[in-house]
Amino acid sequence: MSIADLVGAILGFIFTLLVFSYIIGDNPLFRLAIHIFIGVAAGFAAIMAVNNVLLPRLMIPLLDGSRDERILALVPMVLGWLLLTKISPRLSPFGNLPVAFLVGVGAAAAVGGAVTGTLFPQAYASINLLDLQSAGAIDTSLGLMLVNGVIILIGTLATLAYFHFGVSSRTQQPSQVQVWLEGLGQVGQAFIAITLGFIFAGIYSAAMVALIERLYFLVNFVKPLLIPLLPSS
Amino acid sequence: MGEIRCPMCGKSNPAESEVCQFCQARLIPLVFSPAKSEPPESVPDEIPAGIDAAPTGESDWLLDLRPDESIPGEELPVDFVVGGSEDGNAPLDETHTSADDVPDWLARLPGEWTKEAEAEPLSDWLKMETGETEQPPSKPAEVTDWLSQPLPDEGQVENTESEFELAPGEFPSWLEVFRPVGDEPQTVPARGTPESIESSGPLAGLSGVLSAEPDHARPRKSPTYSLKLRVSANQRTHADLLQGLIESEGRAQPLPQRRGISSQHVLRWAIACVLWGAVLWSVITGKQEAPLPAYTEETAEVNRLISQLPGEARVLLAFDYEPGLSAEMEAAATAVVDHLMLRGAYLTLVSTSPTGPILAERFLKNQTGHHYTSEVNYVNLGYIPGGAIGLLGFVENPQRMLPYTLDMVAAWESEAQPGLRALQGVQRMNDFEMLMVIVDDPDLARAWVEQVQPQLNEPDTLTSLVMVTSAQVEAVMRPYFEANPRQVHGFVFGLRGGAAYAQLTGRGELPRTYWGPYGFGLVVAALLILIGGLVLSSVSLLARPPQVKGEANQ
Repeated sequence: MSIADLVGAILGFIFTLLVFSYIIGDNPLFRLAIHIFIGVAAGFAAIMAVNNVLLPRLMIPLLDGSRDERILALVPMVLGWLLLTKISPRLSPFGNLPVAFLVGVGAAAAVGGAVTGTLFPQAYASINLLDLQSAGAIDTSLGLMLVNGVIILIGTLATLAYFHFGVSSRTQQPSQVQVWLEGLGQVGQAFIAITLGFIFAGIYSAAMVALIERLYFLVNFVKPLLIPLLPSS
Repeated sequence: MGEIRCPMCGKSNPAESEVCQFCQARLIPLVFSPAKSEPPESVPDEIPAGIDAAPTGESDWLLDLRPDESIPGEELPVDFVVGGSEDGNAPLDETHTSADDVPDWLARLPGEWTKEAEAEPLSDWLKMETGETEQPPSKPAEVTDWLSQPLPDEGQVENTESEFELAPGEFPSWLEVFRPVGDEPQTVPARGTPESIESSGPLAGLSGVLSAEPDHARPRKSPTYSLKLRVSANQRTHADLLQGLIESEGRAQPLPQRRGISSQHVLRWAIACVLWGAVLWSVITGKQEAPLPAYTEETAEVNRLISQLPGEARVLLAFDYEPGLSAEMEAAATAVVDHLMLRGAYLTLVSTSPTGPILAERFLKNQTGHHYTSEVNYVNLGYIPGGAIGLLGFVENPQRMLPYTLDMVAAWESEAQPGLRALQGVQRMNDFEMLMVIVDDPDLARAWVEQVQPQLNEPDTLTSLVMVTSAQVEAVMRPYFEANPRQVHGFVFGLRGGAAYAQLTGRGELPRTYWGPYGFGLVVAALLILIGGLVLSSVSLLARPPQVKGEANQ
């Protein structure tokens, strides 16, 4: 074990105990550990941004690139400087241009990806669940696939009905359609509850693995220290 | 009995009143009778034509202002036109007034004014207003035409009447018939209700005329309307709730006082002790070994895809998880990446998280039994900035997005340099044989599918998309796998998936190590939840007040 590994193990042991101290409630030791983690993460992110973004994609093209690369590198440099004007309240309007560019491109990428990557394919897949020909092609039991498709269809419709909040504006009594939608929404609520419970179980599972890993670390760190003290049998 | 409405204040007065009882305005206009008038002996030239006749019922203070004796030689002109109200807005009947009707004080006013006017020269602005120009003193002052005309004598008054008085409005014959002025006595309406009789204007003498200006000009208190809304008790409750929420926004919340050891603390410590004790005992003893889980379809599909990879295949490996979840992600991915290394795949490492590249290096370092070397067997391209935008840019043009490795070495093959071995022959995303994403965030996993998967739908593309996810991402990722056609070709989720994959390959120590304590901890947690639910239900049942027999029957 090298010195770096030893120091890292000692620091890991100390910080693990500091974080575990939260069991007695919020305390200075826990806050100290959290502040150190946040500071280290921010510093590492800054170094990564300089080393992995600014240097290879801005400075090297500007200093060592061809004429086209230099011209192209001027665009992000100007936009970056304009974004820095957001620091000053007087000059902040100049920063609206890069912000608008970022928001517009980000929204376009997110919406475009959601439509082409999730919305249409998932709708198409839900329709295909009731396609008997494709069921035979996948080598799945026909009845099982039909049941699966019907359950997914009901779950999709019921979940959508649960998020329908419309009311009749003309009459005090709910219409027949509203009664149906409310009933279907109750079924959708059950589907949503099952889904959220499933996600919670996943989060609990992840936390349990993290706990096990930390306990293994503590035991493996302490065991070599305790073995010489234990009586040899 | 009829009433007459004051044109000034709009209030009703008795018909015989000459002046208004409220505002002292004249109700009956002064009438100039040419027959009774006598020409004055001397009339000053400078009499303003528009001067008004004083009412007969003046106030005392106004009477005190008048001198007792009249100034000789200062009398009103004969054809002095009297008309209009005090403010001149509502003209009265245009009639001539006789010299006898003119009070002495009024007859003297022009004389005084004339003297003063003669004594004091006109100011410049007044000269400009009147159009006069400064004349040399040798020339006599010019007077206007109407003043320069000779005064008519008594016999000429009637002949010249139309020249000096304001011409009355000419009414059409059909309207003239309806005007009772001077033709017939005013009558009281038969309905018995007293109505006002118009005293002036074209409608003079008519009764029941709707008064226009006085009523509207009369100051009155503006009407008040009730601002109370008719709300129900339910709406009132909601409004109060909303108001309370808004008011609480700007209110500083007091810090909760530190309490001593409460039952909540005891319960929390008890649960922690039980859970930690069970896991720690399993970790220390290692006696809680449980059989590894059976593999599922999605796990087997990942195994099949990796097994079918050609030798020296190019695989893109994305490490998109945070350090806090590295324990689960490493346990899930260890056996899978180990399988890739066994197949001799060249790995290209990327990440959309700043901490991802260093986690990737740590992960590969912990993969024992393989001698993977940086820039030989694998290349770490580092961090993809920009989130979903950066991901889309990397998918469309990876060489431009990440041109260098983490050590600032040119990674891609070009005309000037051969490029690194792990990236030889790779120009775009479809040139990779497999894309494997190790991700812990559901949104990030969906972003990878949404941005990358449409690129892989091109014909003749053999690139497969495989996910290694956290257990909490399984609910999001499963629809992409079960879709037809599949958007994700296989995935391994959480420790369970990693352990199942380890059983398939017979390798992967980490999931095997964790699986025993994990299963034991889950059993203890399930027991805690079950016991807690039973206790809470029992307490609730015991705390419920006993029902009255009559209520139970209902």
